[in-house]
Amino acid sequence: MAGYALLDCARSGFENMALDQRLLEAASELQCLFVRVYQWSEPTVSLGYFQPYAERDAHRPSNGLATVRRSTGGGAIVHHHDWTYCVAMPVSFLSRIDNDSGARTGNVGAAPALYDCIHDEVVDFLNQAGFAANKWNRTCSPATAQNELQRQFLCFERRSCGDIELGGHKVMGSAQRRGNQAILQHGSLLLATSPFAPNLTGLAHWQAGESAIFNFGIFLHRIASTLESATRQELNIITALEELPFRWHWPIDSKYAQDEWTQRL
Amino acid sequence: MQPEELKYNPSHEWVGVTHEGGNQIAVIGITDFALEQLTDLVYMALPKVGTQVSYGTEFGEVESVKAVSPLYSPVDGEVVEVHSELVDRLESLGEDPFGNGWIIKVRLASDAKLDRLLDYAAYKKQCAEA
Repeated sequence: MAGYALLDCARSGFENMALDQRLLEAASELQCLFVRVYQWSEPTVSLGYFQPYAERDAHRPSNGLATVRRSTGGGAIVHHHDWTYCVAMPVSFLSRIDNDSGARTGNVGAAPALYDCIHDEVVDFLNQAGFAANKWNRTCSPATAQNELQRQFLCFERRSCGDIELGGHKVMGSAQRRGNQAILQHGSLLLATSPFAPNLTGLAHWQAGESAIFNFGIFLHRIASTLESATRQELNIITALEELPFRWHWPIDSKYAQDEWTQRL
Repeated sequence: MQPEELKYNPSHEWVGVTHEGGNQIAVIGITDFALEQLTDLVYMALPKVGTQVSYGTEFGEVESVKAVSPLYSPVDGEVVEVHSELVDRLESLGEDPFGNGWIIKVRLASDAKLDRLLDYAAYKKQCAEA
């Protein structure tokens, strides 16, 4: 069956996380690819899966914001002026992604291939919109220095090979959760500086986004297009949850709305 | 332990069986192939002693390159020992993955069904085809 690429509206943090979780489950159940791009109905901090909640309190600029915990790894993101994407796909599709990392596909080795697939397309998208963005590809060793970079609270203050940078500032990163049957990838494109994360520099700083191609809908189309090509699965572009191939109802008891989940570490 | 003497999950966990006090104890870790693919591990979550694990279900999680991956139990039984020091020095996993890189020990259930696991040759073949 064809997959689905959803141009979604802004939602609360835990609704966004619950919906992405449902897409991950559906990717496994239906052996189908899902893409969703979205924003957040209020400024929200999303913590990486392994981040201690105490670190969230220590980040003073974002104190008081709604907070959720993702199921994906990486650092915290202040979702205020950003576009977020989610890709949920069956693990079996990963071997179809053919790029420089293709030799390392399969479940455990698939991370670089899917990151690169999306990030290469977004770099091209940004370049066409007038932003001189590129992937951060510096040698990521020694491991100790790399680990130190990985322990910054905010995702956009961390660096991993393949992150998208502009003028020395990270403007997009992605993270994953991998299961036996399906994989979930989240990513965020930083559009502008937020008062809740004032040290970060978004795309607006370069004032190049006047191009007509720089819009949310084209962002989805570009990601969907590259995934269609890489996985050889057709994607239906949709704009409403009712068009998804499963019934979605708001899960009031979702773990993502529970302190037990958000503050679990 | 010698890799040739171990059994393997297709999801890259290894298991070696020892005998202690009349019980069969499964020593479980993750393979050098998986560690190479995962690259730098930054976090690991492990179960508590006393946890019941079963074949194919998650017993822990690791994070590397911003990817959270589950660890799947290759056996049924009860966790009797956890190598908790690993969590603070994950780099040591790669130094001796089939020895001091062990992760948990499990007292095997009576019907261990170890024959459903891959032997060394079959596991190497799987890795070569990945």
